[in-house]
Amino acid sequence: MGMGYAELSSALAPALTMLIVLGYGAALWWLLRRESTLAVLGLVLMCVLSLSLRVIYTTEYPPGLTGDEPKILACSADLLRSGRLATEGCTGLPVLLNALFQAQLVPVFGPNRWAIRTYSLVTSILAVPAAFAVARALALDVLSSFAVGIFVAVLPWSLFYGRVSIGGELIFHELLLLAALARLVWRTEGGRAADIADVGIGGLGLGLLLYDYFCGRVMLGMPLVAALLARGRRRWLCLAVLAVALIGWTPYLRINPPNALGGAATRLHPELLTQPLQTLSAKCVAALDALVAPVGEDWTLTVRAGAMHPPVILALALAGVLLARWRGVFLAAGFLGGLLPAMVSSGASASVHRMLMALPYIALAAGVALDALPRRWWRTLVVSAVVLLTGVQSVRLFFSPEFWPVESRGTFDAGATALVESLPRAPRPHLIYAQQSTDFMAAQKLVNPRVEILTVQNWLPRYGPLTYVFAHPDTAALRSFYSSLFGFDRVRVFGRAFLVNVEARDWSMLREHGWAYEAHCGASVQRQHVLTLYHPHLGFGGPPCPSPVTNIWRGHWDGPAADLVLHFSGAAHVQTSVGVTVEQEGFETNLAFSVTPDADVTVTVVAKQPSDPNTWWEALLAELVEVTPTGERVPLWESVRPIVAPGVAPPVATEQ
Amino acid sequence: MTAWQMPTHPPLLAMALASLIVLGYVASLWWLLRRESVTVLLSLLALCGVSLSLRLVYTTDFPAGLNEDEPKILRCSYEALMGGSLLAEGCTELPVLLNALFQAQLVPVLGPGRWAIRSYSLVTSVLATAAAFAAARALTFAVVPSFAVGAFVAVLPWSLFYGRVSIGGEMVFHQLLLLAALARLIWAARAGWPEVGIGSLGLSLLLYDYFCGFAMLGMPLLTALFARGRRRLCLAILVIAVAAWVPYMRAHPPSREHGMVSRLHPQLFSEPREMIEEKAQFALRALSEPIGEDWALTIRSAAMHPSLILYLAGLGVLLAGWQAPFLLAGFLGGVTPALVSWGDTISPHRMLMAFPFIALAAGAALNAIRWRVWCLIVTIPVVLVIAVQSVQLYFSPAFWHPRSRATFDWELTSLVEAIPIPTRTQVIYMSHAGYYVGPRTLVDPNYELLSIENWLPTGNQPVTYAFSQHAGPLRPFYEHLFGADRVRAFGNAFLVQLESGDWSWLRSHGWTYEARCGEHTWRGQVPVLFQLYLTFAAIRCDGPVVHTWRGRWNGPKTKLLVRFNGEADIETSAGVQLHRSDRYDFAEVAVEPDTDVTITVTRPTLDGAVITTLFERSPLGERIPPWEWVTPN
Repeated sequence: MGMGYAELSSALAPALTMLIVLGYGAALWWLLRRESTLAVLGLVLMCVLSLSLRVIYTTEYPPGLTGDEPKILACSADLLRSGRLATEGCTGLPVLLNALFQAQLVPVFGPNRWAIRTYSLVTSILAVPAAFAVARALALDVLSSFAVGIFVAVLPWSLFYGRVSIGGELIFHELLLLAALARLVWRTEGGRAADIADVGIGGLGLGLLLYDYFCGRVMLGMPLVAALLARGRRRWLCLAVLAVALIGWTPYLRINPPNALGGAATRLHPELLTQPLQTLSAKCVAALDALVAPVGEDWTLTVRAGAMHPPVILALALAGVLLARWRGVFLAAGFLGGLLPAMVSSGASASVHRMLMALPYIALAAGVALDALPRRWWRTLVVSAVVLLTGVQSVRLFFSPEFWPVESRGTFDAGATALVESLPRAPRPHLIYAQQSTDFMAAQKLVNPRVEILTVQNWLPRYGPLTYVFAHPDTAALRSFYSSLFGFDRVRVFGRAFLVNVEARDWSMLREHGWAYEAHCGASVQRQHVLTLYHPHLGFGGPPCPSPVTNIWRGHWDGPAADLVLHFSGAAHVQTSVGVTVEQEGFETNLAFSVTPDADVTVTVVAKQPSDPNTWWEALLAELVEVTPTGERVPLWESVRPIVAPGVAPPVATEQ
Repeated sequence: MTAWQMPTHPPLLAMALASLIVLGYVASLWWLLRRESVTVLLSLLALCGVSLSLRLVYTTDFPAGLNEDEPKILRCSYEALMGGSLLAEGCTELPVLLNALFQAQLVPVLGPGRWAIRSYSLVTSVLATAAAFAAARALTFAVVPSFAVGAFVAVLPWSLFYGRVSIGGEMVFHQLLLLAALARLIWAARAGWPEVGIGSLGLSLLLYDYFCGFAMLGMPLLTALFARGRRRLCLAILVIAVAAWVPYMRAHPPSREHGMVSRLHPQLFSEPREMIEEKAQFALRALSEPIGEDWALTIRSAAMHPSLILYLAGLGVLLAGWQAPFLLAGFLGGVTPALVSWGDTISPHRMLMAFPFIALAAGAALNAIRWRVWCLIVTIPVVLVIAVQSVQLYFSPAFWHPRSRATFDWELTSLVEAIPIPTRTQVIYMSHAGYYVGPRTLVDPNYELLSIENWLPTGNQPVTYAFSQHAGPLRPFYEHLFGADRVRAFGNAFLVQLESGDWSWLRSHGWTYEARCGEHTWRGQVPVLFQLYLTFAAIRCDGPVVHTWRGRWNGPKTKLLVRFNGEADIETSAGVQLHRSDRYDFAEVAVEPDTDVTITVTRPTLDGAVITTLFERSPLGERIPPWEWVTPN
């Protein structure tokens, strides 16, 4: 019997991984093989510094994972399992590197931050010797090259992208490419072996850039720039780098041909074709501003201060470009090319992630400026001062609140990350999660089969033990409700996320209070008991209803007189036994009314159900809150007793 | 609001002493490693890098939080530093010198937190990797086995643990400096006064540290037995170290009441043999089993070693020739403080001085492989296996038994670290958080102890209430009252952050509270009846104190559970009258809407303070009744 595709792939993935790692080792060895022991000693020291700066405060800076990181891990693991290594992942990026260097680490580390970020972290450290090698290839002396290495170790963008995923490897691959190209243009030694090695290193770097985040593709232009600057046969070798990389990219291109509906094309700025000059100039200014001020975009894996540099580096870089002649052209072209993805893509401000390819050129250009200083002792003095100043400023900035305003911190979910990381490994708990946390729970499903989405059917625990997971700001308001109901020791809080641990016992007493809930889909009616009338996109669990669903909650108000507000989408109608009748229709709107003790309350919301269960944000929104002097809150469980319609049997909870 | 207050008078003597010691470290390492090749230094540097990273990764976990002694020591050291009393005893009866020099002096740079407390131990623990290599080389080991020793000291669980907490890493480093110097005095081709200097530095600093360092006083004497002729200079190490210790001894002569003597096991003089035999068994078992003591800066698993290294160490002692008695005696000496000190089990902190000898003895076993290639082939997998096992063990739940975790208070540590420096609001903290808040109160005047007077916000300025985990049941109460966004939880500890505003409506519910002492009565209002060591800040009383709470029950019919520490009387308008006279007791009271409740607890003195809490019994357990359910009477 022949080997199946999936089995072939399961052997292919480790083989490919080994090959790439061997490529890294060989490339660095080749680039650094002629350096003195002292220089290598210095590089090791820099790598140590770099490693320490990337592991310190592991769970902070950034505080947790961004939702895309566990989602990508889960997707990559699925695709790795099915052997589809050349396909696109669930964020539209090639899945290859994530499958090889994230998903394959799940059996070792578990589905956690280490599986997700180790590849970026390690390659970000390797970027330090790679940066040194580029500087040496640009004919800088050892001291100035050290400065470049240190800049790449400590500059805020380098720290940031070395501590999250999809960052460090981009920089490392870019620097491998640049080292190879610079050597092809400026190296003095000849020989066929050197030619082959440089083409191989460049091909490896560019080939892997093409399998990574879109911004890496902009480096396709650098072999062409190098070809222009090189002489004679070397020109063809620069083009060979391009050819090798494109050949490596062919399997992906064949499966995912570029089109206007997916991939990089969809990320272009909508006004790029109608007002190209204005758009480009505005975005260019935004990108340049982001180098000195925290004005970048806060989004997935990009933060507003991510591109910020100490001013001395920028001044040096400018001087470096002006002083460096043809090397200056190489650096300037690379820098402008690196900015391009941020300039042509959507969004009003600049995304630091998209301009990532431009940032190493700043470090290189600053190194060139230092290299231009006359006299060795003077250069040593200035380099030491600049490196020290830049290092201290960069590290202080990165680990300061200035770098991490609330908006930037908000792109990472500290609470959800801490909650997921707190879940025991053995025995794995039975988890029921509010579907807003799907991204974070996706990775859990890789190792835990007992994970299900919260619906009205499983909201009431039947027996237990169970863990309810509410790891999204949408569900944060439920925390005080659960704490009051279950007690502080059953509710564990992680920022705005929380989980409720429910032990094994008879929970039927929970039916004493809460609301009787009915969902009418055409002629069919489903009845449940819910703890509270707070459905922030809570699904029903059954097949989607083709027509609008009529949701009815009935309860007897046992609390004191209160002002209530219903937040909802759809058409709402509220009626109480003391004569209050209000109704309203709208999207994410409010309906205010008052209740008095012993009033019967009936709340009806007619709303469409999403046809795709994954679009949870279109599911039922109906949140009844009480207005207090300190704001809104979910009423206490004891405030309402369910009213079961006459002749209707009380609902039975589903098996858990 | 005043900004964070920096010390205005930098203590020059302290700065000079700290600089001198740091220079001593650098000079010692340079001297010990000066003849090594660049490749060796490069590899050593890489090893130190691994060591540093292992001590930095998961900065806020493993251990999760500070032990309460750590901020307490920082506070005491800071006070001693500012008062210029560098020879004082700290508040845990340890010499304050090293903590004043290398913790308190870091406060202006790193803030009054974990970095000031632990950086010294962390850095010296990394340097211990190089010192261990040097000690192995001084024992005439080849380069490869010496690297193995360095790697063991970098990765073994005890080394990771004591490199990540305070009062650990520097002890190992100082000990290894001493051992390197002594070994060179015995076995090096050329050794003399520089070694005496290095050894004296190591030993004298050990004497100014945790008590277990005293065990190394015997090592120079032992070395004198091995050394020949002028090499008996090792006795000079002892003399210099003791001479350096004299100023402290004079200020704090040994006594039975405090210091080291007070820590001796009570049976040491009555049943010495049985006691030491039993403790020795514990000590040996603790090397492979999690049976050590969980206490301040010591946890049950801290002495655990991968079994491979223990076998190697045993083998090493057999194969090491003249080095064997040195290693064996050092190990036994290192264990001694744990054997003779109080406690039913064994404290890994007290036997810390024994552990480096295990690493050295394991290195001796590898050193016995004479052919270099074989040595390399064996050493690499051995180091890899031990390193992986050690790191896996250390960062696993197996190492961190719940009781071990509990010796560190991650909840209070996180809670206090979440309060910005300098504070942007007034911070009112519960007395249980006192040790953790302590260092901050020295440099920031915005901290105030929670009392009846300040429990309800005045509204003039934003305020942050810091509740320790002991007030965990109050968290749902506050979340319900102020909303989850104003309540930040750290486990069961939590902060309540209130903006400035009109909070007078908070007086519409809650309890009236009064404390009466003789003729004097102090009156106030509390939002909830949950008082742990909490009363009026202004109260002064020499006699019995009568605490009374009054409220009208507005909630549904239910049962209330009152816990108290004193003589209690509980009355309701429904005719309930209960009297309890036990010291710690509880009473259950049924209430209906509109019932008036009066609770009186009488304490014989103000000291010890009152503990009175009121819970509602619900089908799901006990809980603090919501604020709206009681109106003050």
